[in-house]
Amino acid sequence: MAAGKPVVMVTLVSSDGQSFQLLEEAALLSAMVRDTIQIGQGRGPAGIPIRNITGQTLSMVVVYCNKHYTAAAAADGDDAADEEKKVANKKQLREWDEQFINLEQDKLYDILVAANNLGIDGLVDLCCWRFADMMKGKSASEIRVKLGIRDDFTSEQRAQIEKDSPWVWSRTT
Amino acid sequence: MEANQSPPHKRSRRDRNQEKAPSSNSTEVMKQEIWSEFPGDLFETVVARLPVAAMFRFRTVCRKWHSMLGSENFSQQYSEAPHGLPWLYAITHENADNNVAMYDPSLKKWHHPSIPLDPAKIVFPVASAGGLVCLLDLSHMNFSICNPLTQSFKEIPHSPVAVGSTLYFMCAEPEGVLSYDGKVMLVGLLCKNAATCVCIWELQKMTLLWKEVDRMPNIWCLEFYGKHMKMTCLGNSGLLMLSLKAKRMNRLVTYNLLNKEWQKGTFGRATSTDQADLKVQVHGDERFDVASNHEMMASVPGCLIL
Repeated sequence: MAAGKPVVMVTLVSSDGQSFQLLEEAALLSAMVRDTIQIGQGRGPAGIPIRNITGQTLSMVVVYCNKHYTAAAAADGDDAADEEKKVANKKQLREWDEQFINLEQDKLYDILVAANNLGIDGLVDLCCWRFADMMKGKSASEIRVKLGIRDDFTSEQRAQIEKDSPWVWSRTT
Repeated sequence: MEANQSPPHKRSRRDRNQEKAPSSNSTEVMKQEIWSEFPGDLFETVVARLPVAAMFRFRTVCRKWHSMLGSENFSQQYSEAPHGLPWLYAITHENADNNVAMYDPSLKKWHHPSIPLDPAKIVFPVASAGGLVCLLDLSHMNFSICNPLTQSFKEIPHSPVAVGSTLYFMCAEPEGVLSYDGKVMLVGLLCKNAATCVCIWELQKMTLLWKEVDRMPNIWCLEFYGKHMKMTCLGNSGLLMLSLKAKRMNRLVTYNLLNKEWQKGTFGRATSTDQADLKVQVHGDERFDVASNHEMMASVPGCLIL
């Protein structure tokens, strides 16, 4: 971290009026905040209004931004040659991410939509992995039931698809 | 988790086996009200993070999913999502037949695709990238390309393999030397008296000396004591795969260069015999090219021959 750099804070205001103050550099993880600041807005005391995102969700997003900004800043300050430390830090951040995202589906969904609106790619990615984890063990018919999808294949069509890649359905060892 | 381990052992084991049978190992409930309101673009981002087998399985959900998962756009998105450990591709030659198997190191599972290989022609894998495998026949004259997942197969014309103006070398000699991410690694057996250990060295670019970076856990090396071990090794995207063989012994081990983790692999039925000559090829990055072949022979680091 470069010494003597002035500390700039920004304020994010949720749809239900809660304010969150964080380092501007941490908030810049969001493309939406980046754009707002680039056009010369958002630095004032009124802060940046974040529509459609409640304080409860925004607080989680802020925690994520702070953590990832701190980790990135620490990595910049590290001795570039210290390979071991870098690996360890990356692993630690991954573990933190896993803990952080271990949430109820409703909350996870709110955070995904929020991260998508704010343009925080890393957080969108993290949420999507978590959702994919919920799907991956399911069979096609389980997915149909869970998502209320009607099976609109004819049996010939299905047989053809299964014939195209039989390794998917054959026994594994 | 803890509760599962307590008393009624017999029942819990039986339950686990039953669960295994119909492919569902995830206990997580999916809430319909959430999943049905998922915005389309985010939903595709989620599906692009599924393991390759699940992605193929979900092609049978409905017509809409089938066309979505088969689209060029989705293929692109799938290949851009980081998919962890690369798959390994193996051919064994038993009874002069080409037996093809693919190993998924994260689930420790073998898949057995049936690729339309000419049974009279013995081929072995020499390189892979972007989910495609390049095969060479015994005469070292005829190359072919196959995508084991879609079972497509094509012979390619005689000429040096070049993409754009770059020529790609497909053989790595000597065995055990591999490169990834700009690093050159050497994997070998260190033998002292009757003791054998697997060691990994990295080439120091300034001094051009090999520096030991890791070795296999001692407890595993004890198994090799007094045995004449033979090792073959290959790697891709930071994952090494070692096949260690001695009389009546056949071990498969993976080593992850990124987090320095050693893991034991399992052998499927196609590769279980001691005599089977295991030829393995890393299957590029689990980024299987679903619809098209545009990544053919791309410069995935660590393309390597056994």
